[in-house]
Amino acid sequence: MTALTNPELAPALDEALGARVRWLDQGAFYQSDRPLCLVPEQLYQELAMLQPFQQQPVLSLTLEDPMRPDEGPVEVELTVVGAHSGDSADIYLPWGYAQQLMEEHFHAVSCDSIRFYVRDNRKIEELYERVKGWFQPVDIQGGDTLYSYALTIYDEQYRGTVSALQQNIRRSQYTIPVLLVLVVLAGALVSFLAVRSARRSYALMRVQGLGRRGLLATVMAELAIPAAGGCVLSAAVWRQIWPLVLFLGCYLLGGLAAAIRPVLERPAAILRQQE
Amino acid sequence: MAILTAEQVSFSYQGKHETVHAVKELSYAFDCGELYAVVGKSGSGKTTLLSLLAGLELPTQGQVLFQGESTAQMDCDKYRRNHAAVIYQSYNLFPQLTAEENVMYPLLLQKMGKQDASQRAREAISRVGLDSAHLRRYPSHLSGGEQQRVAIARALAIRCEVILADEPTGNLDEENTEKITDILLGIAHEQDRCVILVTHDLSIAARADRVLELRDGRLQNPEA
Ligand SMILES: Nc1ncnc2c1ncn2[C@@H]1O[C@H](COP(=O)(O)OP(=O)(O)OP(=O)(O)O)[C@@H](O)[C@H]1O
Ligand SMILES: [Mg+2]
Repeated sequence: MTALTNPELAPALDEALGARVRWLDQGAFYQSDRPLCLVPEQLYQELAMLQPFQQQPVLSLTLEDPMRPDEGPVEVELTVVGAHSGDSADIYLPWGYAQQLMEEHFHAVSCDSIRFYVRDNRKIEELYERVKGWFQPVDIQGGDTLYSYALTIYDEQYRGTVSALQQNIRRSQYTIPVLLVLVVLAGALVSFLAVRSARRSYALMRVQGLGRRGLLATVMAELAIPAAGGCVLSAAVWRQIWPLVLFLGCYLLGGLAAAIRPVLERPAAILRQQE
Repeated sequence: MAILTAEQVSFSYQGKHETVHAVKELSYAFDCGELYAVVGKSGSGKTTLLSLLAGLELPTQGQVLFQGESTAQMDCDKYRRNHAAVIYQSYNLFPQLTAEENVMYPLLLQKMGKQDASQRAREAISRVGLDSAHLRRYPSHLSGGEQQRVAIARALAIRCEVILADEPTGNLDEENTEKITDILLGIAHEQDRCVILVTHDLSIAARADRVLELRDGRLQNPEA
């Protein structure tokens, strides 16, 4: 006997798939707590033949809970509302009724299988840990434990998603340093080009009497003040210090490399070249 | 006593493959209150001579003396900061500074206060015939003639004794050339400074007090 709770299972019992079901009304079968059932096609036919005057055949069953043999058997009568074809000999009843039946007669709800969905699959490990104690490992050999329950967690989708994410994380752990190096190199190049493009101005400063050390200080201040300002701002936002220090250092080095010529070379030579 | 003296000055550029003797055994004494024109064919050594007088290059032989002191012995940066200004044909100004700030720059190098420097800059700019509307303009918004006048104002502002100008009118039309020449002559005569001007323009040379002719690095008329 299988109890159904969920209208989403309807397609499995759909006429197109072989079930001939007389639905009470839309979805009512599943939530019903009336004694209803769906039976295999063959049984349906037999019942119909045995009860020619009934509009809906009735199935009489004797139930026993193997866990509580002393409770005694229970007689139930179920109204057959549909049939399903195929090889399975299952009898389906609405969950509401099945639950009521079990509580009434056996004071507990017991069932062969429960299928449920975990809403937050980040907690799948936690779920596994918690329910492990209640389930026994399945004995494939069919040992003498009468009731062994297996917990099967279908987590392929979860694992697929997680491993894709982990792969992405791993990949980004490689790409972030590469990007960082590229950014640092770009910074050095930018400052190199900036200083180089201002070579003429620097030579002009030298012509007007700015000494070598003074020029070096000017170049470095022009580079460092805005760059350091930017780094302080990004440090406040980013809270990562060493990449910024690295960036700032390389940025200044790039500028310094371009400053070598205007500082050391005679300004007249630079001005002549660009005339 | 002459303010600036060249004594047997020679200068050669040491290239990878060759040595170019740009100035050869040149001697001359420059005085304040005079405008000197240096003329000569292209490659005759005019710019090189100017660089030597400005302390931008040091003679390979001989010496350049400013008020009796050799440029080889002195702090040439300080010399240019306080005593000698150089004006080139083009790109004389810092493009990122306004006209006023360009003129203030060497004053600030002299450690003058901002207020005084600005005052001095305004005076100098009006002295070269630019009005206050030009003060806040950037070089790219000034004509070539106006830029050159700002460059002269910058030389005036530091009250240097020597002004060295390398073809300052090379890019200018006749009218502006005349204006610039007037200003330089005025500076030499009225403010008693030594102005040395390299030019190809013979009409400018004709207005100079003295004309030095260079040919192949040698002074042709040392008695000029
Ligand atoms: N850096 C240098 N390296 C080698 N030779 C140079 C260098 N600068 C100038 N020269 C050479 O020195 C000589 C004098 O050059 P200079 O620039 O002084 O001439 P100039 O009279 O100013 O010419 P122009 O009228 O074209 O400006 C030329 O033969 C020139 O080729
Ligand atoms: Mg020249």
